[in-house]
Amino acid sequence: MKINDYCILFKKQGKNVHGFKTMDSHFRGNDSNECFPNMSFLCKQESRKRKSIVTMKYKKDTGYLYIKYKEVIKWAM
Amino acid sequence: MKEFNCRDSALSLTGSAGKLVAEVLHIAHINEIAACAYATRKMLPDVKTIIEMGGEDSKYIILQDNAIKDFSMNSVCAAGTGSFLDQQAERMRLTIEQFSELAAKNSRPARIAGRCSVFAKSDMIHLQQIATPVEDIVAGLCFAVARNFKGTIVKGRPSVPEVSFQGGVALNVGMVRAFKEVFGFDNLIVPERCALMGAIGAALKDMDSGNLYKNVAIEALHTYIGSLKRFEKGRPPLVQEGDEFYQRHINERSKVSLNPLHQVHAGDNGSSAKIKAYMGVDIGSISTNLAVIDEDGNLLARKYLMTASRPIEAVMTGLRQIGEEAGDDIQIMGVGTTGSGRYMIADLIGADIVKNEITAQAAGALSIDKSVDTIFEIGGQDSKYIAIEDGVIVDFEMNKACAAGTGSFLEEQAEKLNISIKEEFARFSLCSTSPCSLGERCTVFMENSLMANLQKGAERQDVLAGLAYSIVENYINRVVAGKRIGKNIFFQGGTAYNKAVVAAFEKFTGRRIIVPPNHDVTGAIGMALIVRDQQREAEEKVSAFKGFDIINRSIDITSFECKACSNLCEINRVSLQGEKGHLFYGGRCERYDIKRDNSHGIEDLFVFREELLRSYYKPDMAKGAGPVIGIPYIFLFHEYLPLWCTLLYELGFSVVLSPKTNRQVVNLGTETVLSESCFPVKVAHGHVRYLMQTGVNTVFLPSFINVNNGGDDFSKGSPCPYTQTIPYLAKAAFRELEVIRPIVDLTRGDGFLISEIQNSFSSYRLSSSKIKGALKKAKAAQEEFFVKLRQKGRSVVDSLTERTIVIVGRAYNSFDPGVNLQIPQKLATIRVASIPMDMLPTEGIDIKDRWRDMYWRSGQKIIRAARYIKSNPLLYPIYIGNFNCGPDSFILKFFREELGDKPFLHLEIDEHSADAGAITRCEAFLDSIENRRLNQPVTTVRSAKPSNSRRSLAETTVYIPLMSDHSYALAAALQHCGVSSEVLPKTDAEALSLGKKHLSGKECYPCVVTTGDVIKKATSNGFDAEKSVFFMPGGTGPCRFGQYNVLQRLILDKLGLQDVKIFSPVQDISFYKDLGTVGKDFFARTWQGIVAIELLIKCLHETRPHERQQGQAKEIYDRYLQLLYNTLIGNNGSIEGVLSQMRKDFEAIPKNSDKKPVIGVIGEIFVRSNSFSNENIIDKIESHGAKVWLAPMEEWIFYVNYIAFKHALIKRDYSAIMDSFVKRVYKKNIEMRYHRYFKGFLQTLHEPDTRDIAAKAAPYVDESFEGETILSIGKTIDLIEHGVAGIVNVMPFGCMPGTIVTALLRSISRDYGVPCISVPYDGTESNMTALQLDAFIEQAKSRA
Repeated sequence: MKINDYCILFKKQGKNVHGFKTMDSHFRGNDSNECFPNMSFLCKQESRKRKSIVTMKYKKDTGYLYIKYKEVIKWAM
Repeated sequence: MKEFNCRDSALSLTGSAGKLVAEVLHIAHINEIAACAYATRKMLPDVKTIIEMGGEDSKYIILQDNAIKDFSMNSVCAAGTGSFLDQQAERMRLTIEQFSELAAKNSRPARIAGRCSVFAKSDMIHLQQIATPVEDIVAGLCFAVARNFKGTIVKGRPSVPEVSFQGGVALNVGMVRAFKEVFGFDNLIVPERCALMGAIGAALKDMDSGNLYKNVAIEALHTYIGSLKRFEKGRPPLVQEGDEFYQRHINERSKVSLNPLHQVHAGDNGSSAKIKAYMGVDIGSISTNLAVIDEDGNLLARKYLMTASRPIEAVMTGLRQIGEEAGDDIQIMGVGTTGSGRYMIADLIGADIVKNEITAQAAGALSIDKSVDTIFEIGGQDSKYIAIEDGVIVDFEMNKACAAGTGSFLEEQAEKLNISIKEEFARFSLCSTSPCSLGERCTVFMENSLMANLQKGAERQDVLAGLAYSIVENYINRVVAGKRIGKNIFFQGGTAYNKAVVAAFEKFTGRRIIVPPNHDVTGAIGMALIVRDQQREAEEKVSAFKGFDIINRSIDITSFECKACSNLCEINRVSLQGEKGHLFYGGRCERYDIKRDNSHGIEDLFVFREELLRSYYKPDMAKGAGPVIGIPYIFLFHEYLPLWCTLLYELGFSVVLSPKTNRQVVNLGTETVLSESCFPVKVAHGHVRYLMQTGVNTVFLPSFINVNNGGDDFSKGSPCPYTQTIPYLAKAAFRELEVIRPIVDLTRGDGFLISEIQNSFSSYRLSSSKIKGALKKAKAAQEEFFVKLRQKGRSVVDSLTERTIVIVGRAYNSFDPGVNLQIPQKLATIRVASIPMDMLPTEGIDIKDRWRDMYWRSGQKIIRAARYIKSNPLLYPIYIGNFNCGPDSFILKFFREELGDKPFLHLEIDEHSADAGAITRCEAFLDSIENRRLNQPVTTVRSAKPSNSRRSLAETTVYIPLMSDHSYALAAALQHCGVSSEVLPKTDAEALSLGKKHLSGKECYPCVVTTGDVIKKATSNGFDAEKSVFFMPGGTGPCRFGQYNVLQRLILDKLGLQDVKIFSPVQDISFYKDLGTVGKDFFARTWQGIVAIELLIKCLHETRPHERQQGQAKEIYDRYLQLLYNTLIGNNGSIEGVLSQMRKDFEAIPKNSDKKPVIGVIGEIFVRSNSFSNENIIDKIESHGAKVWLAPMEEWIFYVNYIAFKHALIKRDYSAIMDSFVKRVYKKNIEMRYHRYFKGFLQTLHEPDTRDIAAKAAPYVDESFEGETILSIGKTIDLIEHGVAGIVNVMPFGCMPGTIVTALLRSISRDYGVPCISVPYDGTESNMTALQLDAFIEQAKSRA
């Protein structure tokens, strides 16, 4: 099994699926507000790009975050 | 055997004590349940159900296809057993044969409700006080034991005929009759050798299996006994050099017995007037005392007589003796009665005043020494603590229907050891050089400890001295419970005769104790003094006393059942020759109380409240055409009935509301409840069953998760776990019942509620607009109710002119007349008005300044009420709660803290509560506040505030309690981030004892353990409070865990350790924010450590049972634990490298290939992980030839993350949503990375995801009920699916989620056919637990 197979997926409404692979460097460091600023940053950036994201999930982790993300977009913008 | 000249003989061993003997003689021990079942199968093949009742334990065994299908035993809470019946027979001066005959003959057994033998005993004594005929009591006892058996042991299990009754108790004809009637058996087979079935079974089993142990060298036993040393750490001897104990106490005693009386010197010749005298009569459970004093308070006569179940006879004997000795010389000017039988005797002999025991005892003590400030009084069935300041009672406490820490406990134990309590007990125990540590708490637990010590070979005197310590510890921890102990301490009551107890008091408190003269009759003396003072002030000085001649009149006592209501009270009718009318006693209400005073004119606000509440239920509308839905009148329906009734009516349903709680409902509940829980849960079961009996098949039972609607100061307002899970518990108990159970979380708005209602009523196809409309009206009705209540409350409070009582507590407890013993009505008869707590104008009181972590709705309301009551000098609270109430064990302390110096009375009520005790306590409380008002109205404000230090962590040492080895991961991660940290040492008996000393004993066990650890460290030498922080996570409920840190803060403050900080991150979203302050990589390191250590634990559990050389696996485990710890601290070490090597090393251990059944261990996370708390349960299971699959720690952390995510979602906190998602990704990532090193090696590697767990648990409990229950239930099903042979639920005694799991496991066990057992722990070693576990593993093995 390769660890790199695990990635965060952002599913766009429609057929296209976007996501990025996780790396150790993503999980480095933390400050008083968030545990993993790098990773959080990437997620926020991704959610900004995909304006109508409905699902955000970790591969092999189906349906974990099933929320309507319209409001996320508002916040992210 | 030698006697019988049996050459060819063999020995088989079974029974609880047989185990040790078997070990010594190197014989295989046979579990007694298996032995009993085996004998029955062989000798009575038709029998399918066995009731076995021996001296100390009772069993219920169900057989099927030549195997044990199911079994149940009495747990740590021992219900009626044989030795209990034995003791009661002795107490009533009956031989056990007479007892048996009496019980069989009588046709009307008295109702003795008794789950616990101690309560049953209290009930019985109460019946004796009210002169119930002995034969009725005897029969009632048998029925109580049978009902106990049905309620606590059978717990709804089927009784398949034929049924056999075995064990020594089966010889009791009365018990056979009771079982037949209680269970409705046509036939109950009592085998000829019923008491020997276990032994016969053991022998048969050994014979059939060919394991014959011949020529056993019995002498080895003698050698063993000779070589034994006690295992428990001893306590200091009762008397040490320099104590001057003998000089102070033994001499004192001789002084007392020499001349306690004042010489009577008038009357005989008629030349001088008779001496004016006053008599006090104290009618107690064990002894009845009479004292006569003169005008100057000199004692003229005293009698100490045994009550022996016959209070009237005892008083008559006393009067006869006094009459003969001094009747001619004295003229009785006044009589006062006190003690539990005071009302009846007052009417019978003609008393001028009736007072409670507290006031009487204090008056007695003050007559001897005005400067006394503390009174310890230990009588037969009750014990009291009284605090006095300047001659005024300022505080008091009585044991709450629990007989631990009372004289009769000591007497019973002494009888068990064949020791005379009067002559030998003190002599033996004062000789002890190393008294045993027997633990404290309930009588039955102490009995277990005692037996365990004796079995281990402890010396008799050491056990006796240990008992003396136990009774003192119990008294100090449970009765005094942290209240002030002064400098001038009097020890009164009959137990003060026992010098061993006096010595134990001195050693335990570190203070000198004074045993006053006539300490056994101080109550009677006090009463005589009170009546003297009253009569002096009275205008009319004629006494109501009927004279000493009363002894010549005949007294007739009969009893009947009152049928005025469904309570069916047993009423006793006493008639005195020459007097018209009868005296009646024994009813719950005042129907037969001739002194009933209706002229008080006090408005009954409780009736007002209840009528207002129930006015929203309109039975006429119930006849409508809509489907019938039942509403049980339980829990939050006592507040929210208007809302739900209106809603259901508006939706077109016919509503059937269960009646007000009555005894019939209570009895229905106690018989159906599936696990030992609190009284309201039993009442709730009773209401549901009542509805079912009236033909209702569908009940409406919402799961109230959060009843704060966002408008309150607190975002969270959780009801207690039982309230939340009652729909699931009801479903588990009544399978055929349809339960409509919407989730009620008011913070989530109307939209959520409407969708929940729509889903739960899905079969009725309700449109959301219809629900919306109905909900609007329902909410208006609810608001109307609250407004009316508040208006009424406001007008009452504004017009207050005199002292008024506020009844504090939860509505379903304190305001339900079927539950609250009608305390408000009883207060009214003595002209004291009372107000329900929720009528107080408490809106606008903000308690967040001190109690921001209070997540229980009831706690918020109670503390608010406390703050209001404190501010109003006319209000005094009476707090009505229940035994075993989880939240109350914490809320009470906060309530006390909030009230400051204002006194309050706490009444604990359950199905066994007797009215008499409650009234005594109310009266004494009223006396004490009266005295207070007159003497010292000053209150002081305390300034201690709970503080959560979140600063300067880097400069301090963080101490982490050793819950499990995972604590090292946390410590290492802190070290890694540059924070000094230390894992506290493993809990020991000393820490446990410290914890118990500062807590009331009602908190959950993990709280006691961790508090003990914290105090031990904080009070150790070299501890720097400035630079230390204790780590104790918080929580958001509904379980009690989140309150540990708040309580520990209070305790540390009280100990003067305000500087000691507690770091308590909360488990939801803020958990990570709090931890994030520590420094970089803390979170990541901790998680890595937890996963690695979890894997290490799994390796140990899988390898150890198979290792060829014992100890090898543990050795490798210890080595790797250290290695992982070091690696986690360091910056460059590779954990993965360590893990890879770890697998290799564990794999290299030489192993046996035998197959062992796997036992799943689930339950409360602390007790299941902490080997001290669970008495090494894993080792025990392994020693029985099974291996363990322990639910992992990670499961909880994933769950916390899951909950944090859910909450973030509900709050729409997007930053938190993202954050918890990222963390989960990281956690999963690490978990998968580490797990891959163990693929193909560990069988138990698989752990389900939180969502899978929730989905698996869903048929039994919804995930909206947060906490460990859902994890335990989901994990249980997961384990069963992975083929475990049985499930052990490990829990702290009285743990709320644990109790819910116990009830739900019954359903799971039935559905999946896998045996499940719950093992509660409370820090007292119990033979019963070992035996249960033993039998359970046997059962699991036979299925594996």
